[in-house]
Amino acid sequence: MLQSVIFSRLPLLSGTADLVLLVIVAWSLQKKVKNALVWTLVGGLMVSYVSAMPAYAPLIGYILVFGFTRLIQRRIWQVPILTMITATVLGTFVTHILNILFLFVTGDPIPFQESITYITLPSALLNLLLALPIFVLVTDLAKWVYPEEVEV
Amino acid sequence: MNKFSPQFWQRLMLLLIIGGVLALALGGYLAPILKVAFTPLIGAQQWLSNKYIAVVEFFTMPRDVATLRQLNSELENKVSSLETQLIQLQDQLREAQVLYALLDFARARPENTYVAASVIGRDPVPFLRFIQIDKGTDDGIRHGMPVVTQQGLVGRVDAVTAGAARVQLITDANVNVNVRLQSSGVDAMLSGSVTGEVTLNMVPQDVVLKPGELILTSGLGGNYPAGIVVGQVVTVRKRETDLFQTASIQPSVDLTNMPAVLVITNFRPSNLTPLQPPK
Repeated sequence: MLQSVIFSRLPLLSGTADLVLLVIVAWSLQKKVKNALVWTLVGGLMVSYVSAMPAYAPLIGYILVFGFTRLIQRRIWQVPILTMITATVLGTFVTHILNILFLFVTGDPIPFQESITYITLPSALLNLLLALPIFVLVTDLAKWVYPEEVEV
Repeated sequence: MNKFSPQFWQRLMLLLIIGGVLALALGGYLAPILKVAFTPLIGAQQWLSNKYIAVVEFFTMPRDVATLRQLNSELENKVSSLETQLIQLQDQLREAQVLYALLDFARARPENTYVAASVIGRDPVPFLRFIQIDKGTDDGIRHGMPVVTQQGLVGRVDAVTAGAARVQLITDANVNVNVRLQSSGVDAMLSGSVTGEVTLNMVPQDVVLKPGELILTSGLGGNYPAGIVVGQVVTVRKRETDLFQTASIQPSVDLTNMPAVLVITNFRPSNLTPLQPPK
């Protein structure tokens, strides 16, 4: 709802921040979280329902983002913030290229270079700007949902 | 023996002195002397009075300050509440002005029936230009119905649920609207783009196209009613080597800032699929 009502109305050139992507990436990076895939599916289904994109393209995109976020986390586990930034940038490009491909396959092609220049790059910048605040918020949420166990 | 005793003379002298002093006082001759005499007394009394007041205030001020603070806090709360009310009323006034404009537009065109809807969101995917409105099939909205505002064409209903609908804007990359130039009556096609720019295509080379020319829907294709304002020509691109000239169009509706829209409910788009030859 926040994505549709607020963030989609704050464009940079023609790109917008993807709050759902950021939350999925941040939630997937939390060590104690085991159900990140479930929330990825929930978020993807909701965005797919609201959006006019064909054939659940957002859902597939978010699942891919979840997958390689976990992959990157195993490689760069020491610095979660760096992982967040890397996954955000890669995730933006992956979801956008997937959207372009889906539109091409379903017969509604859009110019690739123009899309990357005016939509994907500004979206990546906006996502980068929001990545750290979202990561901090989600980390706090994870600590609240999964409190640390204290040995007595 | 003396008739008058010394005590008599003392009393007489005393009376004369007192009378003389009184006479001088009444005559105002003693004012400078009195001033000099009483000034220290007045100063002392002032000092004592100030000290007394300070002591009294010391004991009563906390009560007064607390009362004043409470009153101040109440007034501040009241000011905040009134400011909030003012903002709400200003919002309602703006909303009412938008709705009055839409109502005027609807009344000016009695041949159509309209359903007003608020814009509640935009498509989360930035490649697509869709908006969500808060009216659906329960309110008579159906797929394909045109959506307008008092300024002009907005788009078409793309998907509907019971309580909401999705509208495809004319700036979407996959939208083509059959239009007509107001001055010459020539038919052309209007297309959206990924960046939201709107382009006029397929204008014959012999047509004189000028900036500021008004573009209306032509009704061809049966997707939109004829005569709805779409936009104005901004720049013209005419090359002798091209088959057609093109132009960039400024939509008449500010599609980035639309609080409410009207859905034309008595217009059903024509389904030309059965008439099209098989591929």
